[in-house]
Amino acid sequence: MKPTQMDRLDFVSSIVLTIFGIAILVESLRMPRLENLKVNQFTVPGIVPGVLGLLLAVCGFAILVRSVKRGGWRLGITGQDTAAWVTSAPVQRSAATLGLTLLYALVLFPHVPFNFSTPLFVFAFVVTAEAMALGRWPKWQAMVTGLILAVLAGLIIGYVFQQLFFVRLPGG
Amino acid sequence: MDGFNSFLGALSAMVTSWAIIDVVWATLLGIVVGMLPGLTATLGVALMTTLTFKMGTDQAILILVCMYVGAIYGGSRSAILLNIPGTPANAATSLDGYPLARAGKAGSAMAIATTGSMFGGLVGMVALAFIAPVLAEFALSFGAYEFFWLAVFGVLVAGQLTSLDDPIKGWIAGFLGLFVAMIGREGIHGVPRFSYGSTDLAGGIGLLPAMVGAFGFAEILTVMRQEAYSVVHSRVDSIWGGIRESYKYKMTALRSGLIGTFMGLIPGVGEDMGSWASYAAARQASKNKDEFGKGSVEGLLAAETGNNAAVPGALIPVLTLGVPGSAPAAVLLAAMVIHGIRPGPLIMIESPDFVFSVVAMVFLATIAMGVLGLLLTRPLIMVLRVARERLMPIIFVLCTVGAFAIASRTFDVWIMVFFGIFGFVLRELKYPMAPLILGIVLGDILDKSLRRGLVLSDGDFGAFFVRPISMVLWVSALGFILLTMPSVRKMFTRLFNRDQADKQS
Amino acid sequence: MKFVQAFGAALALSTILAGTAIAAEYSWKPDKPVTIIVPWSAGGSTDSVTRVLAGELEDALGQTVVVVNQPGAAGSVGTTGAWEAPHDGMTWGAGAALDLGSYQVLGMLDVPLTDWEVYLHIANVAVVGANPDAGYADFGELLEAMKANPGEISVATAGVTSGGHNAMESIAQTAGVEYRHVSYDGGNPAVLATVSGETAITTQLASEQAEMIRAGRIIPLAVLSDKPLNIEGFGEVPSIKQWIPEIKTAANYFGIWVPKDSPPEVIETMNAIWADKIANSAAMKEYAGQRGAILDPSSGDAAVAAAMPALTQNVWLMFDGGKTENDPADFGFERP
Repeated sequence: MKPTQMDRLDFVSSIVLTIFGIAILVESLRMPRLENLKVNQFTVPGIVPGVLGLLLAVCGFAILVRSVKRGGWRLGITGQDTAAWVTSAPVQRSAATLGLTLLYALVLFPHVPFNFSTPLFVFAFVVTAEAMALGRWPKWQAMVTGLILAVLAGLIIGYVFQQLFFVRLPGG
Repeated sequence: MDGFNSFLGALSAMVTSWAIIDVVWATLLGIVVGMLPGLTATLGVALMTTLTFKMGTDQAILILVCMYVGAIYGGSRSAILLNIPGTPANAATSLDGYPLARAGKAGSAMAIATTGSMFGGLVGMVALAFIAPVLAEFALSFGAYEFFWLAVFGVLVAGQLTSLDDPIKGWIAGFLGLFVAMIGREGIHGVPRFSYGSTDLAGGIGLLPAMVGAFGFAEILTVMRQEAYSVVHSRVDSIWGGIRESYKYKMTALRSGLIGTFMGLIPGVGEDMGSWASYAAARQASKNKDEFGKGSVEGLLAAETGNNAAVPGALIPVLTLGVPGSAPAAVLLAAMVIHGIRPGPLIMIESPDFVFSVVAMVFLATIAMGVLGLLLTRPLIMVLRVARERLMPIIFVLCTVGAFAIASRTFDVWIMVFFGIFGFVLRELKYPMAPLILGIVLGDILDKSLRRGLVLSDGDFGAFFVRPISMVLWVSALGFILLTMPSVRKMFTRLFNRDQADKQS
Repeated sequence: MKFVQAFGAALALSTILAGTAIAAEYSWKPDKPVTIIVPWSAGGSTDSVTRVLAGELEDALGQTVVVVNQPGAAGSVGTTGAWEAPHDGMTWGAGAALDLGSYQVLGMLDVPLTDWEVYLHIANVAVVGANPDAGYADFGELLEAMKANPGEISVATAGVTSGGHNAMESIAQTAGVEYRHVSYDGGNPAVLATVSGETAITTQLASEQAEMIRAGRIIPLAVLSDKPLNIEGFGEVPSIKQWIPEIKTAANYFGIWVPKDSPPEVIETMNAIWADKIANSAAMKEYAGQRGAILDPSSGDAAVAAAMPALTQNVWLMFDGGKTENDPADFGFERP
C-alpha cells in the first residue's frame, strides 16, 4: 500500500509525541514527593502529570504503529520535492505571514507606540499579501485603501481598548 | 403561580425608559466583548463592576447581567463567521457554524444561534425562578469524585466529537490540553511544576491567551496558507429561514436547555461543559449523525442553547449558595456583595424580591440579546465579503491586543504566539483544537479533584465509582466512547436486532 | 488625536456618570486611570473588597480606578507585576499583608514587606466552622475527637499559604493534634465543601463563612482571636482561648500597596485619603460588618506593625511545617 502524505506526517509527529510523553513521565517522577511533610502519598504533585505523560506516550506509540503499518516510514524525501515545496505559493505565503505577525507581536507591539506600530503592521501586511496574490505590486488605489484601512484599524482598536476598556498598552 | 406573579411584579417595576436604555447598551457592549477574541464575559463583567459601582443596586446588577448574557452569546458570532470562538464556551459552536457560513448560510447560522441562545436563556430562567433551591442542593452533591469524572468525561467526549474519523487524535489533543494546565504552581502543596525557575511559567499558562492563539492566530495562518480563499456572498433573507429551521428541532433545543442549565449549576465548568454536553447529547440522539461537524443545524443549535442556558444556571448557586457556577458569575457575585446583597441560603427568605428581580433581568437581557442579535446579523455578514489580505491583519492585531489586555502581561502575548504556531502545526496534522482548550479548562479541576478525592478516601480508588452521580458520569463516559466505536456499535445493533427478532417470533 | 481622546473621555465619563465626585485638594492628581492589580481571580475576597475600596478612592482622587485581576502562584504573579510596573504611583498591588510579606521567605518575590508603602483596611479572623451533621456541639468536643482519632478528621482550607491553613496549623501545633488537610481553590469552595459534608471542618475566614453560619449550614465552634466575634444575624462566637489559652492569635489584614520609592506626593496624598476618607467610609464599614470583619485602617509604620504578628507567625509555621527551606530568621523574622 502506498503511504499517504498524512501517514508520513503521522510517522514523524508520533515519534515526537511519544518522546514528549516519556519526557513528561520522567519529569513527573522527578517531582518532589514531599515525604518530609507527612503528606498523603496519593497527593504528590507528580501523579496526574505522570499519568498524562504515560497516556500521551501510549497514544503516540499507537499512531506510530499505525503509520508504520501503512508504510509511513518511507518518507520519500527528495531534494527536488523539498525545493518545489519551499518555493510553492502556500509555503511562501505562510512564511511571509509568520514573519510579519511575529515581527508585530514580539517586537513592534511591546516596544513601539501602538498608534504607530499597528497601522504600520496592517499596511505592510495588506500590501505584501496583495502583492503575493497578484504577483506584482498592487495599484496605487489598492495601496491607498490599505493605508486608510491601516490607520482606521489602529485608531479604532486603540480607542476601544485604551479608552473603553482602560487597558494600558505597552510601547509608550 | 405565586412565583409567576412575583416575576411579573419585578418585571413591571424594572421596565422604565432608563432601564431599557441600559439594557440596550449593556447587551450591545456585551455582544461586542464576546465577539472580539481575547475580550471575554469575565473581563467584561469585571470591568462593568467597577464602572457601575456608584449606581443603584438594581441598575448595576441589570447592566452586569446584560453584559454577561450578551458576551456569552456574542462569542458565537466570530465562531460562525471566522472559525474563531469569541469565548471558550463557543468552541463547539464553530464546529458546525463555520461550515454553514462557508456554504453561504451565515445569515441562517447566526439566526439559529440567536434562536438557540434565546431559548436556552429562557429555559435557564424558568429553572432559576421556580426550582433554584432544589437545584442548589443538587450542585452541593458535586464533590471531588464527581468533578473528577466530569473532567474525564468532558475531555474524552470533546476529543471524540471533534475528530470523529480518528478519535485518538482528539484524545491526544485533550491530553495535551490537560498537560498545559499542569504547568505552574499546583494548588495543593504549592510545588511549581514544569516551571524551571521562571516566575511567569510558575504562574501557569493562561487559558485565554492560549485560546486566542490556538483558535485565532492558528486560523490566520491556516487561511493564509490556503490555495484559494473565496469571499462568500450570503443570502441575507435566510435569517427567517434559520429561525424556522430551529423550530424543527425543538426537542434538541429543550434537551440542550436542560443540560445547559444543569451544567451551569456546577462550579467551575459552567458554559463550556454546557455547550459540549448538549452537543454530545444532540449527536447521540440525532438521526443525521454524519452531518455533525460538517454544518449540522442541530449541532449548532444544541451548542448555542447549551451555553446560554448555563448563564441563568450559573446564577442559581450564586444566589442560593453564594458560590459561583462560572468565572463571570464569580464576578457577578462579587458585585452583588459590593452592592450590599448577601447571596446565600437565606436569600429566598430574606430578600425573595431580589431573586425575582434577577429573573426579570435575565429575561430583559435575553430578549435584548435576541433582538439586537438579529438586527446585527445583516451588517455582520459583510465580514465574509472582506478579502483575507485585509481581514487577517486586523484580526491578528485583535488577537495580540486581546491576549495582552486580559492581564496586561507581555508574557501572555508570547503564549498567544506559541499556541498559534503550535496549533497551526497540530491542525495541519489533523489534531482538533477544541479538546486542547477544554483540556486547559478542565486540567486543574481534574488534577485537584483526583488528589483531593484520594485524600478524602484515604487512597481508596473504589470511592470514585460508587456514589450515584459519579456512577452516572463514568458509565456515560464509557458508554459514549464505546458506542462511537464502529465495531462496538455494530455489535450492539446486532444484539438489538436479535432481540427484536426474538420478540417477533 | 486630541479630539478622539476628548471624545473618548467624554464617552467613558458618560457611561460612568452616576455620582460625580469632587476631588479634594490633594497634591497628587493622577491624569490617567489608576490601576490596582488584584493577584487573585475576580470574585474572591480580595477582589470584592478591593472593588469597594476602588470606588472610595475614585471619589477621593477624582480619577477612574481600574481593578485588574492577575491571578497565579498564590498571588505572587500579580504582586510581581505591581512591583515591576514603573514606580510612579499609577500601579498598586492588593491582597493580604500576610501573603505580601511571605513571598520573600517562600522564594517567590525577593521584596520584603518594608520595601512597600502599605495601606491596610479591614482585618479578618479565622473561624473554626463545623458541618451541623458532624455532631460537634463545641470546640472542646472537636479537640477530643481529634485527639481520639489522629489524622482522621478532615479540615477544608484554601491551600497551604491561606489564612485558614495557617489557623489550623497553629491549632494543631499548639494543642498537639493531627488532622487531615484537604485544600480547595479558594475560601468559598472550602466553606462549601464543609456545608456539603465532604469535610467535617473548615478554618477559613469569618467573612467567607458568614452567610452559611447565618443560615445554620455551618456551626461556628470558635474564633481565632482574643475576643469573641459577633456575627450579624447569628450572635457571638466564643474565642478559642477558652479551650487553648496558650494559642497565639493574630488578625489577617487586607490592603493595597505601592513600592516605597514612589513619588512623595503619591504617598502624602494616600496617607491623607486613608486618614480622612477610608477611616470613615460607610461603604467599607458596611462591607466589613456584613462579613464578620473589622474596619481598622492604618498606613505607614502603623500598618507594618499591625501586619507583623500574623506574618511572623505564618512564616515560622511554614518553615516548621517544611513548606519552605528558607530560614525566616535570615529575613529578619524573630521566632515568636
